Amino acid sequence: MREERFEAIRREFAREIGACRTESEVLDVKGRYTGKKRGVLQDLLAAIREIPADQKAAYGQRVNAIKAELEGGVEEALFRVRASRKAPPKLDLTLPSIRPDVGRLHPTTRVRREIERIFLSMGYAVATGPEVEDAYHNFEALNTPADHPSRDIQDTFYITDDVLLRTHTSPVQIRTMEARKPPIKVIAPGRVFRRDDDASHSPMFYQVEGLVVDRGISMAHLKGTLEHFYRKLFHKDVTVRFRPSYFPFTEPSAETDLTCVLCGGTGCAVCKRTGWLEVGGCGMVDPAVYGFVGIDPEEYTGFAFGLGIDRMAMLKYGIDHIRHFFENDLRFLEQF
Amino acid sequence: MKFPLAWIAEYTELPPDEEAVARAYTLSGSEVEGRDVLEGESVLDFGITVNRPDCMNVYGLAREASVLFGKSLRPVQTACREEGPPIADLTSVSIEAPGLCPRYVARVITGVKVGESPAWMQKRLLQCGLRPINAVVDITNFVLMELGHPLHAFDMDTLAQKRIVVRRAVRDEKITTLDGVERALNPDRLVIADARRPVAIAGVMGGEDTGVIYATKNVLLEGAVFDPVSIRRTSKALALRTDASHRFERGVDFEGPLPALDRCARFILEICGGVLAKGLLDVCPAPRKPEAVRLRHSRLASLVGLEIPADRCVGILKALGFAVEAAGNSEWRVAPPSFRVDVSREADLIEEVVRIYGLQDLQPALPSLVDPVGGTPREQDQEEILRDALVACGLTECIHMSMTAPEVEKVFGTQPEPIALSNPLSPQSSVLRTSLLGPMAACAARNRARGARRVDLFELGRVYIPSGDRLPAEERRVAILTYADEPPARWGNSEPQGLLHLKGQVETALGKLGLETSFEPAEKAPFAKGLCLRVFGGGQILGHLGTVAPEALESLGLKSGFAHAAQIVLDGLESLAAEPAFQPLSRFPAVTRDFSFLVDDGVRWGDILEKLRGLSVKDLVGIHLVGCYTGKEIPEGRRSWTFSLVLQARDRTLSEEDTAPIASLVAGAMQEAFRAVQR
Repeated sequence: MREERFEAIRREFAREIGACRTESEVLDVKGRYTGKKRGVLQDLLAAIREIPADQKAAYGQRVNAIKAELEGGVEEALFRVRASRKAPPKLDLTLPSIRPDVGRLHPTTRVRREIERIFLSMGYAVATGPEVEDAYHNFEALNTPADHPSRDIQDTFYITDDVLLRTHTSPVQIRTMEARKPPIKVIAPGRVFRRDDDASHSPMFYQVEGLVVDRGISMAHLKGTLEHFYRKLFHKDVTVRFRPSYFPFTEPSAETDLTCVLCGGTGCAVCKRTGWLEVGGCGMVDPAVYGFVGIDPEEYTGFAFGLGIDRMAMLKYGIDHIRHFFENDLRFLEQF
Repeated sequence: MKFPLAWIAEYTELPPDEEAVARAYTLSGSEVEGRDVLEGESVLDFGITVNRPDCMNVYGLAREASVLFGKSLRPVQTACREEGPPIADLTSVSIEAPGLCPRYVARVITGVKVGESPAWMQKRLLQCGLRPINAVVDITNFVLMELGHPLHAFDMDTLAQKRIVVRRAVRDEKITTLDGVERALNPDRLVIADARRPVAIAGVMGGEDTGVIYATKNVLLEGAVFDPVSIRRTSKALALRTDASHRFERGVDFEGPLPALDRCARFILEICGGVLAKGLLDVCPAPRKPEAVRLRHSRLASLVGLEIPADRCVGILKALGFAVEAAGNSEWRVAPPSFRVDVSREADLIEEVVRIYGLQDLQPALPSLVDPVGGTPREQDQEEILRDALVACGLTECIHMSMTAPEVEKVFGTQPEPIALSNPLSPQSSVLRTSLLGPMAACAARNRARGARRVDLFELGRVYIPSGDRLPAEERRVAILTYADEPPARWGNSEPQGLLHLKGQVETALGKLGLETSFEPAEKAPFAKGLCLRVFGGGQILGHLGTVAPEALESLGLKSGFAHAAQIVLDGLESLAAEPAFQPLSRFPAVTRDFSFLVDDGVRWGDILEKLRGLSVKDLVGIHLVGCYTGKEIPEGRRSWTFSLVLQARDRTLSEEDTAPIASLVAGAMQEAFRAVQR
């Protein structure tokens, strides 16, 4: 009997509250059901006097549950009618968007991260070394003795006769091989310096060095690595060509040519109509270098390569001048 | 280095397609950097790497082409008739510094008539970029371009006692070289002397008054081998680079003087007449013989990753002039020719084979190795987190050169004596930065000059601090610099909003590393007095932030606007940083209690905050500043602070009875500490 009454109240409440279209209608229903003075709930609570003592507790719990249900229904209905109170204002959707005030990463950082990500996915570690180096690590241990013309390949900023701004990231090769034995598979990104300042050079720029030393490493691995890397970097099916060259710390040495990422190899202004881009030096680690770091060249072989991060950014983004990178003109930085 | 194709073609057959010739050279290591037509003929501009002096001449390039195209290499005509007296009757050569001059060869021609060289020879010299002078000088240059061995011709009658002494110069000795410059010498310089004085700086340049001129009758020709290091040092010390020094410092063919002198004599006899003395003086205290090197076919295959047939390997080496001798199963003893000063090891031989064979068949492969250390260093991970946090804070990353101007360093740097370059490109980039802020502020000034009204930058990089060690300490830092042309909107009525924003950027960025930051007032250049804070994190001083002093900005030409900056040292943060520590969520609602007090003007928010924290209010989870107000309705000398306390318990819903006592506790404390009156 009692339960039937409860059910009837719940059913009637649900019908009435569901039919409400305005806030005042909801408040009216609310007053009639949960109001302190004349609400249905109040009546139910007052009726507890007539309930036998052993049933009072159960009765109270049941009424409280209904109370919670009714209150929740009122809240929901209020939310519903308030939300539908007004139609959303009309808006000119062709107006300019309002953009969040975010900053930007330098293009060199963007491309460096891309490069690192590709090599990390290939199982490399990232290694670092000092930017102010000694001549031993920058030259001698890289098989570039003092008073040898190969020193002229890189014009050097000196601090003293023995201390200089590193001209390449290659000293990190030496520092890595001094610190641990093969297997080694590292890249070393970082800033390098050349005493050179003209239309196509900057006295400072960024390089990535790569070094892999293990048993059975060959030039085929070098080619496969670079080809894989450049395909990922430019999202294009480029091929790599090795052109014999000379670096004191690799033998055999090669320049890496890449099918031009702009014209696909048919010839354009960027590749000087050759269809090829010279993207960096590479080669098999010279036995003399192993001598400096105490690795047996009969047991281990390895390859090393270098490439310019800013140069990759120039190719990716079509930047015409390396000087833009370090002038930090906001009109440049804000394009990335 | 320019050489006409037609000259090369005199010694080997070239395909008619010049483009193909250029490509073949480039793909075998003698890069063709340009092509030109000079004196009506095609001239290739070669970029010869420093290890290949043997390719810095016509004959060497012809040798390369003959191997590349499988054609024969024609011999050089060197036969010359010796009709004069024995050379020993006319002159003598003594080497007093055999370490610096392992070989000196001389020939003598008497009774020449020096005129101009023939037009065909002048054309060749012009094509190679040389200026014709007179027949004898031109012939030595011609032979240099053709065979690669530097020669020198003396007017023998100007040599005291008509003899040659190769020795170190004596202190304070002087020589006027062919370019008319008087040069001081010292014992580090090797000279060619006569009985009395230096007549040439060995391997670099001859003397002015002993050179061959039109009036010269008798000629002494020199062909020598000098120590490359000595020549290089001399050439660098005198800042005198010549075609001769360029080749000597790279290493010349030990056997080169003989054919070169013969070829030279042959031309002189033909063009200038005269009589060639019989024989030549060849002073060679220690003859050299190139050592044979072991080459294993298996090593070649494994290093390159390509199977090149054994007979092809041998064929290439032999064609290049190497002596190849079988030494067991797929092994050879290979002796390089004397002109290949760059080949002394197995790897060098492998390169020779590979550069001729080509690597077009090389099948790309990937090493399966994974580096045992792997990944990025923890410091770098933190740097990347910071970069991303700062970008999200609205700051744009800049990257500046490590070199900066001493004046900028003086204002913004942290060291009295920054590290200076000994050979800077310009005074504006002659010292290494000790602070990231100088170059960044200069960057703001440049951008302002270009019309930017706001500059919001950060940079993450190294600074270079002089240390007791050989190498400076390279400190990793991050810096923020914001500049606004207009006075910024205000927070309360005292502090520029920009600085508090910047403080928030620092807190946010360091917070991403799990570092709780705190601050205390500080005085530090280049920040304005009273507007600088020391930044603490993990119990350590991490850096500073503040408003950049106007004088500092003015030193960069920034005459208006405000700049705020921060600089944090990153070294050591690895050990301080922490991962986020999860706090269980309360199931019970939070209660917010708002308070408003009138407080004396001098009281700072930090004082109030410290007081409130000191109350140890139970269940307090947050104190938030809502507003600070002076003006209408607020008495002079007072200000109104409104803040809220957020209370939340883990185990229950806080009731009125829980929160009521807090209100009076706060009011009492504020009253007692700051004479605060609740509004």
